[in-house]
Amino acid sequence: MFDTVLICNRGEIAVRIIRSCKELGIRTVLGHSTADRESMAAWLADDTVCLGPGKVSRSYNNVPAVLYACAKSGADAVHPGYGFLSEDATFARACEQSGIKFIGPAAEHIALMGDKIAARNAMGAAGVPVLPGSDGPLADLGHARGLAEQIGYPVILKAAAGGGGRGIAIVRSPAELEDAYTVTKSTAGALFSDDRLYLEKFVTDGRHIEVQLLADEHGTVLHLGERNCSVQRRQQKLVEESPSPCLDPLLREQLCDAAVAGARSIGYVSAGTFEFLVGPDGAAYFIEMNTRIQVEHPVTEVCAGLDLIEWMLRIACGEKLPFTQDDIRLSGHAVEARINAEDATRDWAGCSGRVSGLVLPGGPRIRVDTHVFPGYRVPPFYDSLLAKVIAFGPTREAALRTLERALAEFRCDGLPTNIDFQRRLLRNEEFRAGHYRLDLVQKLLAETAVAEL
Amino acid sequence: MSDNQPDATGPNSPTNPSISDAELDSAIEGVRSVVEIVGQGSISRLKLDYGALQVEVEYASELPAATSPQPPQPVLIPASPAEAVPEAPERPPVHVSAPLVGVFYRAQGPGKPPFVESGQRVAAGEQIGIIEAMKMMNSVLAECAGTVVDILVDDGDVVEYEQHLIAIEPN
Repeated sequence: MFDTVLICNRGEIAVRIIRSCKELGIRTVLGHSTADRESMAAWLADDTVCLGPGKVSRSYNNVPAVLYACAKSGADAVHPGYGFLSEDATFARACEQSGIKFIGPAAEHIALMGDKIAARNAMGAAGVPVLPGSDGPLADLGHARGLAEQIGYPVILKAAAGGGGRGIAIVRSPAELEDAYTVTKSTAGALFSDDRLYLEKFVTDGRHIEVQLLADEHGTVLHLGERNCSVQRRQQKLVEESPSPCLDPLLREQLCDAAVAGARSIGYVSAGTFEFLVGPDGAAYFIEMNTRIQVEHPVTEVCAGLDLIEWMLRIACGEKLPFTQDDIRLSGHAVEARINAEDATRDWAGCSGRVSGLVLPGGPRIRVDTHVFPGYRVPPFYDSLLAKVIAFGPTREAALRTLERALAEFRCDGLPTNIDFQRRLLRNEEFRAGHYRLDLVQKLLAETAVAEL
Repeated sequence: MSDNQPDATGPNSPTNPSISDAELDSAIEGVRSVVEIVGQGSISRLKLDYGALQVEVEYASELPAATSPQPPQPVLIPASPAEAVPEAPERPPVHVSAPLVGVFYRAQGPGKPPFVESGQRVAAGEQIGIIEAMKMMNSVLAECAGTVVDILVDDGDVVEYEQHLIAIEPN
């Protein structure tokens, strides 16, 4: 096992990684910005190295600073968490060249999945269902028009280098195409220095279903079931649950098998997630693969009884997974609610400030992953995630009742949070019935607007 | 008691059993705004009575009660210890800190004399070292004129952001 792992991340995921390392007897070093000097992760880590100022380009995204921090602290491996450098192929390659183990997949797989056109083609070739669309980058507007006519509107334009909901445009009619094409192309060029676009069929009333994978260097690739992440606002997830209440056993098996086959076809190693879009007709399509640990991983950990960070560490060390697909037992139901410092009534504006009072939920069948403590200051540089509340139970209904109870206990004073919104969402009939789709949050907000009239 | 953390002390609950949480919260909030209004660093003692509730705030400030506005970087401003805090140490040294993460060098190159030695006088803006990050050489300059009293990092050490490199006693 590694002697020292440097974590170049912050917030709850840095705390989460440090915890698994401690249990494995690994020395931990936190690479942090000046804004996170006084943070829970900094206190829990055995050692700290300041990477730079609050701005991410000079600290958490600063490849040389992270590499020097590894050298300074004697780290033999680095865990990037999620966001920041976690899906940066250049960083993974630089680690490899510096003799530091990157705890994640090979740089070539990060690069492959980061190029959405290449990923789509590779997965199509492996037999993973992809949306009808372009095989390569769009040559020009005429090419886009021809394809859109062939596939049928609505279509979606996406940047090859995009992801995380950035650099995309939904085109509902031929009249909208020219503007959407021009704007998205220039946005993509500005955001990613890569203005290649591709086009796919747009699925309305879809659901977001993803499959968690673990793969080792010895040829074992297995799935840990799926998560339903269809409760989203502005392409960001708010609630995730496993198993998905709307999948029949046959479709579940198809998606899990497709994900395993896709990962196996490229020789993928580490934890990873295949994201699918499932249409109202039950047809499922590959959207993208996340080559890192995800925010919502605890939902799977609870159902599978496995520590995914521990397995990322063990796999990175070259260990062989000691279980097969048949040994994996997924039991019960788990639901996660993300608690963010944001104002749902002001278009989800993120808020920074001081947490003056804090009471975290607890009790049976509740797990809370957080880095927040009374008096903590939420810095203005990063995302607004404060805590993840994960409830579990033998059935979905039981898990939802436990989550409701837990959110009622949660008190966070000093800045706006989405706790009340999450509690309303839990009471929503469509959510409760389990057949909700990606438009659920929009509908809920529209209801509020009507109620206020 | 710390310098920048006002200590708002609540009532002793055994002697004041009648105070509700809400009252306590509002009192603490009130004290907090008073502290903000008065401004940090100038409170030495503040006592408030809210009927049964008594709140005391005390500031153990390292800085003397100055007539000029509080400096943003106290280390750069010479303190006047004779006035208010007679036991305070003499003017604190100024630390030159690493502007980025990298390898610290004390000289222009191998075999070259170090930019500065302990005991040497430096001018403001004078080069005191180099930090190399990815083959890029970044000059490190003295922030103020004075005498180098300590060199805190060895030649070739990897330094973190804002790590203290040398100490200068300002003129």
